[in-house]
Amino acid sequence: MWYEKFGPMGDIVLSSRVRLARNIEEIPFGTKMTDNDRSLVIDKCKTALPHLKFIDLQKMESIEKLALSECHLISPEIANSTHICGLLTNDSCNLCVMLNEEDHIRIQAMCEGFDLESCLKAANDIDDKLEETVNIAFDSRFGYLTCCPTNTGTGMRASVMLHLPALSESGDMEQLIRSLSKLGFTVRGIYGEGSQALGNIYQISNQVTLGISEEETIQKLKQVINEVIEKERSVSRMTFENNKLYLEDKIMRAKGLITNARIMSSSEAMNLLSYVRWGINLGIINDINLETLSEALYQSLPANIAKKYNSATPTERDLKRSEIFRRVLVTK
Amino acid sequence: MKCQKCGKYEANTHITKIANGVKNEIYLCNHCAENANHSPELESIFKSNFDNFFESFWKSPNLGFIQSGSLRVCDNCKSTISDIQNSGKLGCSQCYKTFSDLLLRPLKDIHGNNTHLGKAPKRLYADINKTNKIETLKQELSRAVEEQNFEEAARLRDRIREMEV
Ligand SMILES: [Zn+2]
Ligand SMILES: [Zn+2]
Repeated sequence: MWYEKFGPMGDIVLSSRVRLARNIEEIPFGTKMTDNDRSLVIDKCKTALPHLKFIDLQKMESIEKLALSECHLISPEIANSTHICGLLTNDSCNLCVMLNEEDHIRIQAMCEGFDLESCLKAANDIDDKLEETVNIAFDSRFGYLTCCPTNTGTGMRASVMLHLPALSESGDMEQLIRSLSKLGFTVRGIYGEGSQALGNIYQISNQVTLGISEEETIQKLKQVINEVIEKERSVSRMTFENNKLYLEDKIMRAKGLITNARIMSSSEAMNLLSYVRWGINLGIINDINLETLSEALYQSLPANIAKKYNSATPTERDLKRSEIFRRVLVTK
Repeated sequence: MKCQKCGKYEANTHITKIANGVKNEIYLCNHCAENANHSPELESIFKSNFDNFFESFWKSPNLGFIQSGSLRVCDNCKSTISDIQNSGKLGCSQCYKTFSDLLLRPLKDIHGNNTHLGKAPKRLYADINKTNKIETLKQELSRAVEEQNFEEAARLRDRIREMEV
């Protein structure tokens, strides 16, 4: 899949995404919708975007939906929805239009690595195509009208997923989260709860959607992300120079564990994979590449294992997970 | 409402913070308000506040003007103020007209601005699409000049001139 590939700034940036929230003028929003309205949304969008493949989420097994949301192709909200909802996607699944999520339409364009401009372009193309036949709810003052008024304006959420092991280890993360939030950006851990992100993977996104254009928002976010990347690289270099032996030991232990263990929980795996990824970037580990590592990461997520191997219990999954790592990460 | 920090006592103080044009409010009990100035965790409450801002805004105790609109109902979807307060969501596109006066202030508070700039649907709002596009290009132009990227600046100036004809 595209998200396992190595893209621009791929040593630190896993993926980029632009999401546009849109609603249909004459159909009531989420809280006031009937099933009839929901079917109407789906019909209109299917007609407007005939080149995309439609997936009826109501007919999909819930484990399969959770697996898609673990890979961030759909939101957890729509994965758990009990209403009529669906997806329109392209073949490579880097374009995904969610239908009847919080808003009628949520266009998502994604790519590997750091490239928000091409995501915006792809999302805009879908939006342009949609509005040729669909009356999009819009107001000259409020912009694109969304179900939750905090998203109105551009309705755009641009975000970047980053792996920040050095900043997490040095304890700089909290300061960074605080200063970015003052600038109008949100930082959150992708996996796990609270400020300690599992696997040191974070998502940084814009909060402000009103009074600033899509392009300008992306420029500002890019600037901020570039600074974060720069900071991560310099702290990483410093940590390596100052504690070479200590860091090498940690990284090689992580590699030893992940390629040899027989039972591996999801949270332990995320933690070890983070060290291995860091080790590859520092040149300490040479026989695993970043794409293989990403492949192992996504394959080992709980719902993805459950779906692929029909493993019902956490213990079964922990056994399966260790098998995946030994198969994918160990070079023959 | 309860204190947003400890969640235990009734909130009777509210603190406002403005950073880069983004305003945040938080409601605290007396005890937590006393320690508020040197509490790092407050920042994270401010941050999470952004998401449920509308909820806390509409539920805050000293907003008499909301009361004056409390009988208003959206003609189209029949949403009332309390529906919106409870869900934090609007019921239809018409709601933005029905409740526009109540939306402007909180939107300004969270975004630092309450007038859209950016894309507009081309088929139905061609003129807005054009004015906003020109405005966006002008911003890009001033950045290009700032960065002394004169080639880009010249290109943008031409595009603006083209569009303004
Ligand atoms: Zn308190
Ligand atoms: Zn309404």
